[in-house]
Parts: sequence; C-alpha cells; structure tokens
Amino acid sequence: MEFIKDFINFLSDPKILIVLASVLLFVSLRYPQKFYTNKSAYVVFGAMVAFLILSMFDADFYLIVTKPDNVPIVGMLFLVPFFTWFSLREAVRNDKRSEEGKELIEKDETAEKVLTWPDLVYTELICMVVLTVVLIGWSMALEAPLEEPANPSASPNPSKAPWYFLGLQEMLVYFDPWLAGVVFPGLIIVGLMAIPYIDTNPKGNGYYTLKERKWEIATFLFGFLILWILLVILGTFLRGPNWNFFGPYEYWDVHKLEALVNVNLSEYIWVKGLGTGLPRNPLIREMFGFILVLAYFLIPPALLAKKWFKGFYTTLGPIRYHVMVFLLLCMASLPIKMVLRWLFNLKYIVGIPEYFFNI
Amino acid sequence: MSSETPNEGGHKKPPIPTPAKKIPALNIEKRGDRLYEIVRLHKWFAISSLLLFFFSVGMVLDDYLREWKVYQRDFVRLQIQKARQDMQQVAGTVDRTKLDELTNQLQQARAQQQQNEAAIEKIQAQITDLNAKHYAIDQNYRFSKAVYDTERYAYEDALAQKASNTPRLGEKMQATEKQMNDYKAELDKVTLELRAANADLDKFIGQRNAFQKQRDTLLADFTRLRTRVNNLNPGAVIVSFRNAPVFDFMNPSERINQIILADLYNDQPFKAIPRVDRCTTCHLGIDQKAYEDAPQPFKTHPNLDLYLSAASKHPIESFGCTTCHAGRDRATSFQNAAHSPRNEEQKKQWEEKYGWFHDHFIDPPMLPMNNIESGCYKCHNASPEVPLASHLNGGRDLIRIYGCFGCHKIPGYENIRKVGPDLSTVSGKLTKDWVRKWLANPKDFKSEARMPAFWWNSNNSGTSNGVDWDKRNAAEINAITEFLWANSKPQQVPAGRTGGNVASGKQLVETVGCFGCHAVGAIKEVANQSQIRRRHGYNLENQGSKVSESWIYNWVKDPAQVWPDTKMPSLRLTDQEAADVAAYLASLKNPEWEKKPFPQTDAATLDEVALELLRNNSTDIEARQKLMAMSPEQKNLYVGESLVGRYGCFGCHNIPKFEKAQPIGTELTEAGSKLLAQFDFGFLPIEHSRHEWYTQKLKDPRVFDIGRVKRADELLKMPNFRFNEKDVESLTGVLVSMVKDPVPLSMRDRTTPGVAEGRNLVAEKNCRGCHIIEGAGGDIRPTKEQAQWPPNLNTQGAKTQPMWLHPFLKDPSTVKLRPWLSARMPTFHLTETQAASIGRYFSELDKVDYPFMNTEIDTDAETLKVGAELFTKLQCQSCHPTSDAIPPGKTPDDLAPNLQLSSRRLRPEWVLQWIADPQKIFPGTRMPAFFAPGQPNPFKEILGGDSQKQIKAIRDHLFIAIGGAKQSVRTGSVTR
Repeated sequence: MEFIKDFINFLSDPKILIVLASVLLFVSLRYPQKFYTNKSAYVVFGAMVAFLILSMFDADFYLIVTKPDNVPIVGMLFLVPFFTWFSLREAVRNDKRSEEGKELIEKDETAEKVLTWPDLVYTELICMVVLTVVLIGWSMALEAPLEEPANPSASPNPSKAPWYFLGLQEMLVYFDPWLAGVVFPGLIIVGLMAIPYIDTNPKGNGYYTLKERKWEIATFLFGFLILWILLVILGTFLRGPNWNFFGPYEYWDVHKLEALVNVNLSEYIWVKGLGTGLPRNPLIREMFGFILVLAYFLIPPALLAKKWFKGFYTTLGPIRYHVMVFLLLCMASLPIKMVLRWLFNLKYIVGIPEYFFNI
Repeated sequence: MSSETPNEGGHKKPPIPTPAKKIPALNIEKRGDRLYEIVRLHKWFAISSLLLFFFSVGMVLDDYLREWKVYQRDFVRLQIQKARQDMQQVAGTVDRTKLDELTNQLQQARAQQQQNEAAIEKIQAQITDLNAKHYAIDQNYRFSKAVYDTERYAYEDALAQKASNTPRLGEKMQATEKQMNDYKAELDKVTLELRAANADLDKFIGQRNAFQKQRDTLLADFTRLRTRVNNLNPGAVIVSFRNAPVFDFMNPSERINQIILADLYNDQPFKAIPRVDRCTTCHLGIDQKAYEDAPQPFKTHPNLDLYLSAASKHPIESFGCTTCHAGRDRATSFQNAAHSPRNEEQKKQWEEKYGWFHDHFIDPPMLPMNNIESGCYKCHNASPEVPLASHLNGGRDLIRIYGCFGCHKIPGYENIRKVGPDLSTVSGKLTKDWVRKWLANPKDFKSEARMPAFWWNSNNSGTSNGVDWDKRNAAEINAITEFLWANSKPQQVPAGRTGGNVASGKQLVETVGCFGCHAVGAIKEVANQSQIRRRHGYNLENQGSKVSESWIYNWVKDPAQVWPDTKMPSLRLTDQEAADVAAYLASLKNPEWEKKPFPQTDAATLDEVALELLRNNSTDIEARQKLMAMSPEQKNLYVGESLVGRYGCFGCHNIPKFEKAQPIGTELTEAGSKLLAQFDFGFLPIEHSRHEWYTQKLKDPRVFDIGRVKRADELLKMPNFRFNEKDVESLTGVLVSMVKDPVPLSMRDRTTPGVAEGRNLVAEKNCRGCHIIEGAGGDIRPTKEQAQWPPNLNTQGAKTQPMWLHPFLKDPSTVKLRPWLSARMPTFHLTETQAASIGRYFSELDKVDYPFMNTEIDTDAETLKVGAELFTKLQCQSCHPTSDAIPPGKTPDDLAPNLQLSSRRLRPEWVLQWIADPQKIFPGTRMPAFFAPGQPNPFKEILGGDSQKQIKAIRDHLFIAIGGAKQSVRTGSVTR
C-alpha cells in the first residue's frame, strides 16, 4: 500500500506529471480512434472514480480534497476531461463517417427539428431548478472556509490565488512576476483574440472534426489542458506550504524544505564554463542570455518558414505568420523553461536583479 | 411543424434537406413531433420542484435552527420552573386568616354596593359625560394655546422687523389669547364638576376599593410571580409565532444578547475592533443569583461579588466576558466561541457532546478553567502579584524561585539578583567531584533540586547522529568544572566550629524557622500552592555530602559574611546552636551517591567538542591548527568557557568573565500573543496550540528535537527543570497571561507603587514562608502545632505603628514579643529604604496614615476607671503579662503578647476592632471574643451595656494606665 502511495506521490511531481500528461495528450491525438471511444471513457472515468474513492481513505488526501474551496476543483477534474473526450469522440466519429463517405453527425441531427416548447424551454427550466437544488444543497453541506482574520504581517502559508489564477501562480515558479503575472496573461488574451485572424481554416465550422484541424486542436489542447488546467490542479492539490510540492498522500508540513540550488545562465557560462568570475557590468554579464533570447525569437520563425511551416507562411502571409509564430514561441517558452529548470536547475536565462529584469 | 414548412425568415438559408434514410439521429418519426414525452417532462418537473421546495425549507431551517435557540428555550423552562417553585413558597407564607377576612369583607362591601346600584349607575353616567366634555374642551384649549404661541412669535418678529402688519398681528394674537383663556375657564369648571362627581361615587364604592387594595398588597409577591410565569409562558402559539422564521424580525423572544464594549478591543492587525460579547446569549443565568445549581450553560458565575454584578469591581456592562476569559466574542455556538477544555477528560466529553475540535484559526482561544486567572494579568500587571489569583501568583513565584528571568526577559522580573549561588568562589565551598556529579543530574542528588539538568536529557542521551553522548556529556561537564575552578578566587572565611550535637541541631532546624524557606527532601506536608515558597531556599537533603561542617557553621552563623548578596537572613544563632545545626546538616549524607564515580574526559571527545566550538569562529583549517597548539588543560578551559556561554550558565550564577553577558533565552514579554506560526511543534503529535506547546516545553524542553537530525550544536539547549504537573500548569498559565491586548487606561491596575514595592520585597525575602500576608502564605504552618504558628499579618498596617515596626524589622532581637514561639523572626539586614518600604506597604494596604499618625488617646477619668474595672473582670492578665518577666506558675506556651508594649506598638483604632471581634481579624486566634456580634453584652450594668463604650474603656485603660500613652489635652470646652 505504502509502495503504491509512494509511487503515486512520485508520479505527481510536476516534472513527471507535466511530461506524462503532455505525452498522453499527444499520443492520444496521434491515435484518436483508440483513445476517444466509449470503452476508453468507461475505463478512464472508472479509474478516476476508483482512485478518488480509494484515496479518500488516506487522511492527508482526504483533508486536501474535502477542503470546501477545493471541492469545485475536484468537479473540474471530471468535467474538463469529459468535455474533451466528448468533443474528440464526436470528431473521431465524424472523421470516420467522412472517410466512409457518410453524412456527418451534425448533418443528421440538424435534419430533424423539434419544438422550442416544450423540448427546449421545458428541459431548460428543469435544469435550472435542479441546478438551484444542487447549489442550495452544496451551500448547506459545505460551510464557507473561513480562517483566521487577515493579517498582512502573517500571511497564510501557503498563500494561494483564487483557483482560476493558480495556473498563473504556478508560472511564477519558473518566471519572474513581470513575465508570469503581466506579460504572459496579456499575451494569452491577445493570442486568444488573434485566433480568428490567424486561423482562417474554415474546416470544422459547425461540426466536430479532428483530422481536418489536427494542428490547431493539438496546439489549443496543449495550451489549455497542460499549460492551464493542469497547472490549476497542480496548484490546488499538490502545492502546499511555501509553495513546495506535496504528493497527494503527503502531509502538508510547513517545515518541509526544498533545496534552492538554481543557477543563472550567466553563471553557467562565466563561472562553470569559462572558469572566470562574473563581469561587473550586468549587460556584459547577461550578454549570452540576451543573445539566446533574441535568437529564440528571430531564428526559428525564419527556419520554420523555410521548412515545416512553409505552408503557413504561404497561406497566412508574412505578418500573420510572424504574429502566429511569436505567440507560439511565447507559449512554448513556458514548457521550455520548465524543462531547463528540471534538467539544469536553470534559474534565469537573463538575470539582472539590479533592474528587476529577469527572464 | 414539420420540416417542410417554408422558410420565411432566413432568405439565404437553403431549405433543410430531407432526413437521411438510414438511422435518423432523433428518430422523430417514431416519437411523433416531440423529442421528449410531455408526461415524462411533467414528472421530472414535479420531482425537481418538490426537491427545490424541500431544499428551500431545509435552507431556511438550516439558517434558523441555532444552538443558542435551544438553550434559550431550555432556560425559559428553567425560569418557569423556578418561578413556580417561588410561587408555591410565597403562597405558603401568605397569612391565610387575614386573607380570608379581607375576602369576606370585600364580599360584604360588594353586597352593600348592590343595594345602591341605581344611584351608582347614575353617577357613573354623569362621570362619563363629564369626561367626554373634559376631553373636548381640553383639546380646544391646547389647540388654541398652540395657535396663540405661533401668533405671538409672528407678532414679536414683525415688531422687531418694524413690519407694516404689526398692529394687525397684535390684534389677532390678543383675540386668540382671549379665546384660550375662555377655554381654560370652561375647563376648570368641568374639572371641578368631575371631582365632585367622583367624590359622590366614592361614598358608595370607597370602602370596597380600600379592601381590594389591602388584599392586593397582601398578595403582591404572589401576583408578581404569577405575572412573571404568565409572561414567560404566554402559550405555545404566541411563542412560536414570535419566533417563527421571517416573523422573528419583529419582536422575537429568542434573541441574541450582546454586550458592546466600546473601549475594549479585539486587537486585529491594523484594526482594533470593539468587543461585542454574545456569551450571555447562552449563559443566561450567569449574572443571576438563583442558578447556582443549574446545569451549564445556565449556571451562575461562581464569584458574583467580584465579577459581573453592578456593585462588583468588574461589572458585566463594562467588562463583558471575553476580556478576561478570551475566546471569540461574537460567537453564538459552543464550537465557535473557542471553549478550551481543562483536561483530557473534559476534552473527550466535549468531543462527544458538542463535536468539539481544536480550531487553530481562532486566536486566542478561551482560557481553560484551570488557567482562568491568566486573564487577570493583562490589566493587573502593575505589581508582582494579582490579588486573589493564587494559581497565577504561584506560577509567578515559581519564575522567581527557578530564575526563568536569568535567560528570558519577563516583565516584572527586572533587577532581581541571579537565583543561583555565586560561582566566583566555588572552589572554597565545593569539590570538583561533587560539582561534576551534581551537573550530571542535580535531581539525582537532591530530589527537590532547583538547578535544571543540562545533560542526559531527551536529546543528548545514548548515541544519536554519531555522537556518543555519555562521553561527550562527561567531557563537557569536566571542561566546565575545570573552567570554574580556574577562575575561582579563594575566600577568606575563618574555620568554623565542628562537633556540635546532631540531635539538638535537628530540633533547631525543625523549630527555629528554617522550614519557612527550606525543606529536607520532598515536602510531605501539603500547605498551599504546591509549597512553592518552601522551595525558596535550597533543599537541605544530603547537604552533608555537599559542603563541610565547618562551611555550614560559618554559613548559618551569618550567611551574609560568606556571601554578601545572599537572600538568606540571620537567625541569630548562638555559637553552640550554629555548631549543632552544622553538625546536623553535615550528617545528612548520601554515601552511595558519594561513592559513585564520574567518568573521565575522553581525549578524542574533548578534541571533537573543542574543534566544533573553534569552527564557529574560524575555518576548519585554522581551527585544527589552534587545536593542535592547545594543551589538554587549555582545551578544557576553552571548551568550558565556550559552553558556559552557550548554555547561559551566567543567567543564574555569577561567573567570572561573564559578568556582562546578555541572557540567551527568547523574550517572553508577549508570550501569550506569540503567533502560532512562530512555534516549532517538531514532529510531536500534539494539538497545535500555544497552551499545549508551552506545556510540552516545560515538561521536557527538548522534546521538539525528537525525530530531528541535528548537529550537536544545533540541538535545543533549554535545560530540564523536571517540573511536576502542577508547576507546569501554573507556569503555562503565566506564559499565556502575558498578552499584548490593549487595555484602556481607566481599566488598568491602579496598585500604588508603595504596594508594588512592598510585594516585591515580601516575595524577595519570602516573608510568606512563615507569615500570612494578603491572605496567602504561612507555608511553615504544617510543620508546627497551631500554638507555634508565626503570626498572621492580616491588617498589619492598621495594627502596628510605623515608628515601632521600622526598628523591629531592622532588628527583631530588640523585642521578645511572643516568647512562646520557637521560630524566630530573622534579621534580614534590611536597609532603611527596605524597612520603610515594608512599613509603607502594610499601611497602604490597609489605607491608614503613614508614617505620621495620632497616638494620643481622647478619654476621661470616668472611662479610665471603667476600663480598669473591666480589665480586671475580663482577667486579661491571666494570659497577657504586663512586663517582660514570665508570671509565676506560667509557661511561655500559655502566654499572649505583653500588654505594656501595646501603646507603643499598636494603633489605637485597631485595638478597638480587635477586642470587638478577634476571630474576624485572625481566624483561629486564642483571644476570647467577649463582645462578639450577635452575643449579649456580658456587663449589662456597665456603661448601659454598650459594647462599643466598654471596648473603648478597656483600650483607654490599656494605653494610658498600662502603656503610659498620652491623653489628648483639650483647651476648650468642646468635647466629643
């Protein structure tokens, strides 16, 4: 039993969890017919329910999962996969139909019409009533999680953002606040607004499909599921006091320590590589970091335009192409920084604490 | 509608294609034109609506059904029950015969009245008419007066403005005035008529009313209680309506009671929130006398004279509850109020009964009842002790005796001498071997040792983390001993006498008063407050194994000559007595302990410790070089000195080279408000509360190291005092009492500096070891028979004259006041200031003149004669001698204080109180109460049997004839 728990704790480590989840996502998108079926849904959701129920017997797991403000996130753990699965299952079915030359599901469905009343409005009314019942029941069952009066000189540990911002807070582990808290959230919004102008592919309008939009769906799902939802879940259930990582069966001990051994790129190059001290001038010191960042944003677009993204470049034109690649590179910078941190304990690529400028 | 309906709205939309034939998704053809069956939808709608209804009702009930409402209902029941009992009791006390008589008379009067019914009715009709008339005219009058007032104002205004319409306004005003006066005249007329009519009526019914009134007076108490029962129980319908959900906004009988305390705050960060105590919502009988035996939460407060009642010092309106008890003020449920159980048993009980759990979010929680006195300190902190708080004072005494302030800063313990003996002359007193074995475990040598154990504790015993603690402890102890010896100066003390008589020495120790501060071994006689004051002096157990007989002789002869800073007074022992005492104490030995060897230092271990210490200030290489250069002796001295610094030995002992070292412990000034997050609970499975942490810390200060992997120099270093459970409880109480809650100036303790200083001295000199002062002390009493008890110092200020007390305190040997006492009042070598402080303290306590007072007696020859007569009749001299000589045929045991001293020693007013009721001042005194209140005066024929005059006569005789006091001289004819 302990062995299983330890193993699950081990798997929940952000490094492994994020890598595993990404691999799973891409593999499932590679072989969707195998993954997005009813049978696989039964297996996966059954396993999730079993995991939740069995884990409830663990006191530490129970404590965190049943905290009134964490309960909705538990619901999210089921809802998000469900909708993902549902849409992809429909997509797989549609793709199969179109291969076989059949009509799409949507077409089948829209062929017949039903009455607004009672088929729509009445069912909506019933849903509304049931939802109200659930909300009332919920509010009676779980009391507001009030803690001690707020004290700015003794903030709670862990201090957590509202659940929907926990993804941002998780980003703070890897990036400076100005990036993780200002630039990235801004880019997320700008990027979402830019999608209709970049993604001009008309396929998939009004019907589910994966085959015709594989690239778009994969990119979106990676950004949404891995870089947002997973980070929210991580922040809710697996980040404890001092924002340290705690496995699902671990006690949230304030005194747990994590070694702080991260090093800047400049130190890698000057101290470890060249064997000299760090230059005084921060601009010279961080020279390599700047070059690397510039190269990251300048070289790949050109290379990609020539090779893998040739198609995009021709269809989108240079401006839209560059906007898209820039946004993609920004999105990719998060997992890249994560990997660098995990593999090399890299703290900052450019680290100028003198000017509060760190990348 | 079918899909063939022409599309009218959307022009561009293509017509909907005909359904695919294979598997229609919705299969509408089969279902008709509906996706869902309407009946099923109805069913679902009905089910969900019912659910919504039940959940809504549940929501209202969930909000409505509160714990406190149940308590209030129960309390009403209890009140009714009590009122009914009272009603029965009152009914029993009513004079039945008188009641019957009045009832009869009343009936007769009624019968008479019926004969004149016609006349009465006529008058009553007349009165009704007149009343109506009176009402109408009165209204006219008042209205015209109102009009008149406005017109008068308008006129005055116009007059001042010199307006053109002034005359017209004046006329109008006069007209109204006239009308008003007419109404007034009419009203007066009607009033008179009404009065006449009423007088007429009274002729017929006056007698009946008088009887009725008498009967009502007789039954007043009963009627009041009956009304009360009716008010409490107006019937289920009314009660449930008043308190029904929604309707309860109007005037519910179940409501939250609260006391708003505007100047007492909840000290929240950046915001002081006035306290709003809602405790009385459930604790409904707390301020009423009648509920002493009621179950909780209705029980009466156990001390209404001191708390809650309006006449007490802490009325509930201005102090509330949580000011003292702590806990969450606004809470209205058992759990949210943060009740704290007093022990494990209560905790279990509460968990079962209330589902109680420790909620660390509510800080501070309520004080548990065993440490309730901790709540006093935040206001009562102007003097070393809180009056009447024996538990808290006991804890504060412990801090004083065990010297916690040596390492920790604690308010109220500044400028106190270090508690341990001076070690700058240790080599002249002790042997190295003794010191080593003592340090290893002081309690092993003396079961009541106050010195704590630094070595072989829970975190430095056995082998842990690669350290062999047996070896290391021995090395550390040896090094410290060497360091002490190397820095000890020789002491010039003459050789003491030896060869005294052990038996008489034993008797002396047991009787002469040593036991006021000392004990031999565990204290068997239970006095009070865990005999803390008998731990004031070192325990005398095994003293012979510690110091030599010669040393003891010098010490007991006069401790101050051996150690000028000692707190031990001189008992003025003669040379022979001192020798006897020395012989006895030297005979208290523990040969087995003496034989026990102490391990030698292991050279490698010493090197290890030295290296570890050297590394603190230098690199490893330098440290090793330094170590190589040291001789074994130097190593010992270096390690010894460093360890004295690390363990803070200088906190309690005067140690050369450490005279100016700073204390090493955590400051405890706000120990009761320290944030929970700042405590390290280690891996200990205990409740995360301040109370629990302090308790564990005091029981075993190093307990939080359990399960930790630490280097030797990282370990917790607070030594283990091996306190007993009771001491731990008291000390925890003191720690949690020191909170930072703001208290308004008006509510702070106003103990005068004189009293505070006196209390400090009383504690420092341990006066309470023998005497009872302010109701506490007398710890020596269980070791003696009652006749041998040292005097109770209750009313001492009102009793003795300052001019007598001052020289007595400085040198008690000048007066032999109570020759029968075997215990001696010691010579404390008090300074003038100290002696004066004590005198002032007693006087301020009793609120009497200090230092100047009247000692003249205002009397006359007649009174003095009566006094002499009474003095003989009461046979005062059978116990009280009037000279130093012991009367023939008497032993000292039969005697009472010499009366010749009275006029110089006692305050005249006090003697009056004393003779009047000796038991009130000193419970258990042998002095007979001749004039005790409630007893008949024994001398009816003297001074008209007036006790007060008789007592004054005796006092006057005592002071003037026996004591030779001055009689006040009057120049005028005015007498009292």
